[in-house]
Amino acid sequence: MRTWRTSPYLLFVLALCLGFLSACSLLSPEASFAPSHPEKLGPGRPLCSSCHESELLSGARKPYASFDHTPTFLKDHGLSAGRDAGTCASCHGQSFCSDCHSGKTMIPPAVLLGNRPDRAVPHRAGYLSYHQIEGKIDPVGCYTCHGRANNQRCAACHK
Amino acid sequence: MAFNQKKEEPAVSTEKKSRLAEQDYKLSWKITRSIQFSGHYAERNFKDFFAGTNLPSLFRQIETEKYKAQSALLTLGVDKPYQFVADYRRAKRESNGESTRSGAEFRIIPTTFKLKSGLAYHRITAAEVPLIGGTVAFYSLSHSEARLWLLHDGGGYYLSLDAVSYSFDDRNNPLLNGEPKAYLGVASVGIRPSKAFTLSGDVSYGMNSLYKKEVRGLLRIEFHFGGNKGGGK
Repeated sequence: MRTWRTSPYLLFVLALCLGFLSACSLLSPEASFAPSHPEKLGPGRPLCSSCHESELLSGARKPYASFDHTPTFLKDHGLSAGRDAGTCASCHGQSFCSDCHSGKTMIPPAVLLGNRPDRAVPHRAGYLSYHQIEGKIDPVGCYTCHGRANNQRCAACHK
Repeated sequence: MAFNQKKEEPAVSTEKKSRLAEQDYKLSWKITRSIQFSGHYAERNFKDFFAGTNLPSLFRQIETEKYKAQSALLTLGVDKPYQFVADYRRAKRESNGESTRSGAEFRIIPTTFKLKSGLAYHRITAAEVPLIGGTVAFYSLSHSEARLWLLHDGGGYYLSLDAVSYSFDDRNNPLLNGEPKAYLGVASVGIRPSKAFTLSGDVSYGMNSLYKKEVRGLLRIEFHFGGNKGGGK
């Protein structure tokens, strides 16, 4: 009588799982990636490709140019951060991300970054008064931060 | 067995919906070293999108509604101290119609000079939406946004100024309390006795549909535990 222990089907599934895990480990960030950038960067938004011209970022398997801090990158930086957060961490501390993404700070983002007008700052100029207008026009922008989580302040009125 | 069934008109449309709750497609193209273009297409089916929300009552939409948006972003001078960014976004909601957002920002970020600045203008054109039980049948959501900012960073100190203005087309919009304009000015000054420690203060003055005058002051003390990383950001 054939049992699951000796089933070739089970062995095949196990081998397949191990194969997938091995493949994932090949794509994961390398442990030898520098934990911090060896040289201090200049002011402003850095362009990685200005020094790393044709190199491939080993962890993310993408060219350094795709991490250039262009306006496009700033809008879609979540994709890169999700791919390889270690690359971000070589320059940015966790607190840099938390300024906007923690959702737990007592100070709203618009006030929090009042000293950094060069950074993207949402919800300015009495946003509470016209957030319903933005919501009617293009609600998907709201869902990026609100909707699944970070609802505490919204729930005060939207019960 | 037969049941009496009441046939009702659908709330929005009878278009067959995709089974995908969220779809996003992005294309980024570095045309030259200084010019970059990106395009984005997004689609949402609210019926499925909110199935897993932890607060179903929040942002409750018409469940059969569909949302589509196409957007494009063109950046000139990616690697230059003078940067021009033009953006366009067209969104369509079955309940509120089409809207477009278009505009541009001009940024001056010199590497040798310590003063950075930016000037932006955006125009949002949206369809009129019905007002149930109000004094007018429809009201407009269209408006304009303008912004000017300056930042002088001297290393041990910094000064910044930020001015934002909103101008709404329709004074009868019930969400605006009869005040179609809003603006805000923020001035900030800060000192950095060390790399890890910053002391700064903001003063802002503004006006919007909730407050005739809004004055705020903020004293900010920042300490970076662990110090700056190699990139110093």
